[in-house]
Amino acid sequence: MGEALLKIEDLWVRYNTDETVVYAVNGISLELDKGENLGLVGETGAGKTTTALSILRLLPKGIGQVTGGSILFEGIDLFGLKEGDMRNIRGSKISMIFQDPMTSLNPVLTVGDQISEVLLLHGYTKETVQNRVDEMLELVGIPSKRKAEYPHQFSGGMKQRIVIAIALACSPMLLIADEPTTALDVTIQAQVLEMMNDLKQQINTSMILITHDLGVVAEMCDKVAIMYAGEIVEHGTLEDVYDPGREHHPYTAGLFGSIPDLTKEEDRLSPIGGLTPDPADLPAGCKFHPRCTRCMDICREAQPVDVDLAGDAGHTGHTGHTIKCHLFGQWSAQS
Amino acid sequence: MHKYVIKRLLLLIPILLGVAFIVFSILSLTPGDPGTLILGETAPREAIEKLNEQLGFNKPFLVRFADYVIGALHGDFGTSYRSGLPVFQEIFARFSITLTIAVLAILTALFVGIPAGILSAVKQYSAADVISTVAAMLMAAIPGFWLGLMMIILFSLKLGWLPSYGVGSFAHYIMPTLILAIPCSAGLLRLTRTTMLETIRQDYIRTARAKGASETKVIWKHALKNALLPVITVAGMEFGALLGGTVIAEAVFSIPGVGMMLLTAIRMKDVPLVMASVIFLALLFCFIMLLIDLAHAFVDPRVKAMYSR
Amino acid sequence: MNNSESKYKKRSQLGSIWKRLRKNKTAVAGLCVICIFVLIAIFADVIADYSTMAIRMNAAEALQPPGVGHLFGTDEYGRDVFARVVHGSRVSISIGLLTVSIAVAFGGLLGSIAGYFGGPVDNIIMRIMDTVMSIPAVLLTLSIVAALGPGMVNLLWAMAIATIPGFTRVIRSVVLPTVNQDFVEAAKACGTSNRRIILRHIIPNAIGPIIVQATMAISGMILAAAALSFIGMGIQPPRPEWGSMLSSAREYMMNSPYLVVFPGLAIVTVALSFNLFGDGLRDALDPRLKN
Repeated sequence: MGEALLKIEDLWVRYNTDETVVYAVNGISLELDKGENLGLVGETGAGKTTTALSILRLLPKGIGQVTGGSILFEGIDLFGLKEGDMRNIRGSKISMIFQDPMTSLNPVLTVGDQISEVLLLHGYTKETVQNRVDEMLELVGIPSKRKAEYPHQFSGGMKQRIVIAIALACSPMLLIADEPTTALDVTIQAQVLEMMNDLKQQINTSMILITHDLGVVAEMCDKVAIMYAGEIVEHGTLEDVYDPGREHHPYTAGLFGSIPDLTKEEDRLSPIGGLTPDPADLPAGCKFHPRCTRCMDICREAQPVDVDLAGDAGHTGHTGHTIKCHLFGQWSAQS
Repeated sequence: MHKYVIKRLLLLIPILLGVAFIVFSILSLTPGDPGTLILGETAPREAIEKLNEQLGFNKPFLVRFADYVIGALHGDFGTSYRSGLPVFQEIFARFSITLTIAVLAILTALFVGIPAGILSAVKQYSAADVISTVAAMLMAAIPGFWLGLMMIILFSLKLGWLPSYGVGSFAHYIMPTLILAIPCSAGLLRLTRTTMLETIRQDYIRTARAKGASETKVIWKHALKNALLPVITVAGMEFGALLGGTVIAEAVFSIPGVGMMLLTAIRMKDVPLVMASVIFLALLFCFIMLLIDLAHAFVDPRVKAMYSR
Repeated sequence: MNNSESKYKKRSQLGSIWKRLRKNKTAVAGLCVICIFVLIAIFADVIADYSTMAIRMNAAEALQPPGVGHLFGTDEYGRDVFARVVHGSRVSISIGLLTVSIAVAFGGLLGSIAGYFGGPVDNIIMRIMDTVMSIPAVLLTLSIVAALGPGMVNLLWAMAIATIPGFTRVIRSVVLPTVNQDFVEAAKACGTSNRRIILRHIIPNAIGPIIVQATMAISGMILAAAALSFIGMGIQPPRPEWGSMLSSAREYMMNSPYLVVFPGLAIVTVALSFNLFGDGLRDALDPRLKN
């Protein structure tokens, strides 16, 4: 296996506001190979979107601050790039689909203009751009003659297709999809996901799919990282994380416990008690301990480290099945 | 779109009638009668009474108003009690001066307020932002007439650079324009800054950045059009207010504009002149607002869709 | 996140607004200056006697420059400018506060009725307001003053009437979004009377933007009152008012510029303070744009 496409190492991000400091991402590491799909799962406020924005270096100016770690893309340190070089990567090599299609498109520009903008910024000429715009619209299932229309003339699902067309127009190597279907009707969700999957395979793009929907991850992803309070608490292949027979982080177990399982007869779901902690005031020790059903004394004091369960063969380091929990500390001395 | 414009033009009728009614009522409460005004205090009682009778002053209020409206609909807005000239002749003789000052003032305000507001928002918390917001605060708190007096002391009395009263050359217009433009540009600066700050936090601005667009392009292509919509509206209202609100500047610099004419007319209860001026200014104001709404539709397709329904 | 939110909600909303406001130095400075001027206005008679210093003419002491006996000098009739500025604060500050109060009261009532009932009621109220608004405010005020005659109370009403439409519009626009919210629906479903819903549910929810708007309008009213007095349509002499002081000082400003400086500075200071305070209040109520 060659160089990973994307390698996040020990990333720390915080937001400094007038009143508080919010610790949004606290030392996460991830790797993604070409063509791979990674599902980034967690509740609202777990730091998923912050991670994504850090990759594009689009954290809100003056507030969002990377305080440690590095992100390597094709072996290049993104944090070391000049702003101009970073702009050349945005939209062409790495692109992002945002959560809310209703507000992601500029209301006063035609959709055609908004698609051609990204193409013109990354090498297309005025002569060739219109063909590509037509092509992209047809690809996402919108008649190309509608390119002269404005966003308000499209439905939510259509808008998200346009956002996807913008993101994929330059055939990026990495696509970050931040809850691409959350704002859409359930019936449209499946359509959009399927379309994304098809297009992605055509251009062999890697993808980070940010979601809180475990079902979507199961359909789309090869690897899964579960995030909680700015940390990755469990990471592994789809089988590693989804197989109920294997060991899991109590939070992962809790997430799966809150989904109805049709194959088992259960009277009630077992949701996780409590709420996610305030990222401005994180608990000491393991950040999950106040909600954990298997909390031990050590959990309140010491931060757990990643424990490699040596899941599926052939994986090393962070690509293996790792769990950040004291329960598994005795099995491995690796930190 | 045409339907919308026609609807708006039709709406002018009740608005202008309402304006006429309000002003007519206020004026009829003002003490004094036209006979005394025209003939003077010393004129014989009978002559005054006779003239009042002739002018219909002794009829009931609503009849007088109806007479006025009927006359106005036939294009007869009456003659000024004081000068005896047809009212629009009086108004137009002075309107060009007021219009010049108002146009110069609003242009100055736009050219200062909008760029400074954009700069202030884009570089939030920078030195430029702090300076322009503080300056705007101060400019909004300075009474124009006081600033005018201070400027006269400095530029006319001490330095002798600018004429302190009257109209004539371009130099005469500099100080009146400034004292009207300064509070106005302060308002536009603050508004531009606020709307711009709101706009650059929108998701579509993030989308534009994620495409790899440069900061300049993000601001000029994506943010500006959206941010300036409310600014245009307020600028239009300010312009309308300026047309009717130059009286203070005219008083400070002794300028024979519509404002001073109206001040005298209101004091003298010169009903035909006041009525015609206010209706004329209100009509202008409504036209400006209509033009601005059409400009909105031109820039924002959502507004256009709303109007086309 | 949610955990903390509920914790924050429990702390009184006013408390957190006050906490944010206190951090804003310029707003606090504005508030302090406002308080000082209010105190000066209240204790004007203690600071400088009205009848002997502010209005009694004394030709022997006319047009003296600022000095030990007369801090701000004397005017063309030998009246003490400092005493007149002090007493002028009474007029300006009470006009500012009262006009805005009247305008908020009427505008609030009309705006919430229009926003709450919608339909034809809304249409009628707003068309009337549009009509009044298309008359230039200065001219409307001047005409009303001319009709009612000069004097402080008349000036007050004239300015308030010209301001009501603007407030009605603002208040309607802040009421409108709350009308369709669930708690209003819930109150309606419980059979609460319209009057009670407007007073107890809608107005309290729209109060923030109204207060901000009102604070900002006070300085505008103070400036407008001074301007009207300046052209002789406001407060009448000999009563000291900053605008009319400036007006009579015009003739002497070449040789006695201090006559123009001090009343003007008083207007600027008060107007600026209200603006700074209002601005800080807005940031404290709606901290969205700060970051």
